[in-house]
Amino acid sequence: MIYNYVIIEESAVTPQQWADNLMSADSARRSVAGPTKVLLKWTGDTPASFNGLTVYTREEIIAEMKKSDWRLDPDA
Amino acid sequence: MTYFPNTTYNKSKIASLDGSSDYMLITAAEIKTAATSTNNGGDDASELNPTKDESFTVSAWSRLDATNTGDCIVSKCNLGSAEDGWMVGNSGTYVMQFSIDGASGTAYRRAHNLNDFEYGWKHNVFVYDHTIAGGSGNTAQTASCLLYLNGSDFSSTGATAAKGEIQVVGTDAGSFNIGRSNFSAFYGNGYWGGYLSEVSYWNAALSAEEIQELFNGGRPSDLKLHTKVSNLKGWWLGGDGTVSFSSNYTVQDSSGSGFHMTSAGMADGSIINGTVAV
Repeated sequence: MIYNYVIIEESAVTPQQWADNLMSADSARRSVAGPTKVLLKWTGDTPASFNGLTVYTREEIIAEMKKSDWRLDPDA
Repeated sequence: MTYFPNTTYNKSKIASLDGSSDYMLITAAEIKTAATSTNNGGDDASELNPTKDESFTVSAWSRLDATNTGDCIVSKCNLGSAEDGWMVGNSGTYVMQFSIDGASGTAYRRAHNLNDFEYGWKHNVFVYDHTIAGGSGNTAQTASCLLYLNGSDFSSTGATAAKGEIQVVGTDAGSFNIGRSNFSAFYGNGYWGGYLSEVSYWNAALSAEEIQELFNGGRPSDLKLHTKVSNLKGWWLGGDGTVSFSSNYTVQDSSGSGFHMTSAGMADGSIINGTVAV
């Protein structure tokens, strides 16, 4: 399945953005450092509620997820 | 050539994992409270939580997405702690690695680096056999990590470490994960990118012949009919266990042990019944 992704601070996610993506508050991946961010994703065209945000492809989001904000291992 | 899925055994479920957030797990607490008569809440291979003195085997069918270069198939580790437990997966550019925690954070690993790893479905088996004597420097506890690919033993192909003294295999606190390891140093960002199916856990070191029986010429089969079915303690994405979605997936354990898993980060439609091209 080919997704598009955005990263948003959880406190800033609007009800429309939750509705427009495939993740819920129960299922979305969260960052482990700093203000909690969530990873939202969808297939197909970008919903209008995500206009103005950086939209990541699969390859791009995998690179983002390798950053320390999203990793638990202490010595990585 | 490997075929998937089997055309006569048609109970395989295939998880499509995106490499960034998708995985399944059963927590240590859930392992302990699973409603089976064999559970006693302690270290026990029959509870997915072997000690260094208990052998185990993990089997999984996988198809790696070629865009990923470091991803975990299965792990049992204390999340956030370096190498506290064991993990198996693609640890670099088409390197399959089985790593177990050793003394003072030293990992004991076996790996193979086969050029054809990235192509098509593969059958992977990882065996921890605590009865096999290790190399030099061993004292009381020795062990062996073995890897099989498509039914053949590749433990000596590209091995990065030999048999060694194992101090710790698992921890009571560690969750059992399919598609993720949080120890990213070995496994990229730790999340499997591609397909996984027919993941099973056995509380014994399966023999080469028994692993051939699992491989079954490249066709997943009913593990309830396997010679060592009495050692089958976990079986996900195969068999009669159901898969249902409500916010997250519930993936039932088909072994009868009650070790049902819950997904995280996975969208509805990520697990399918049916055919994925070889």
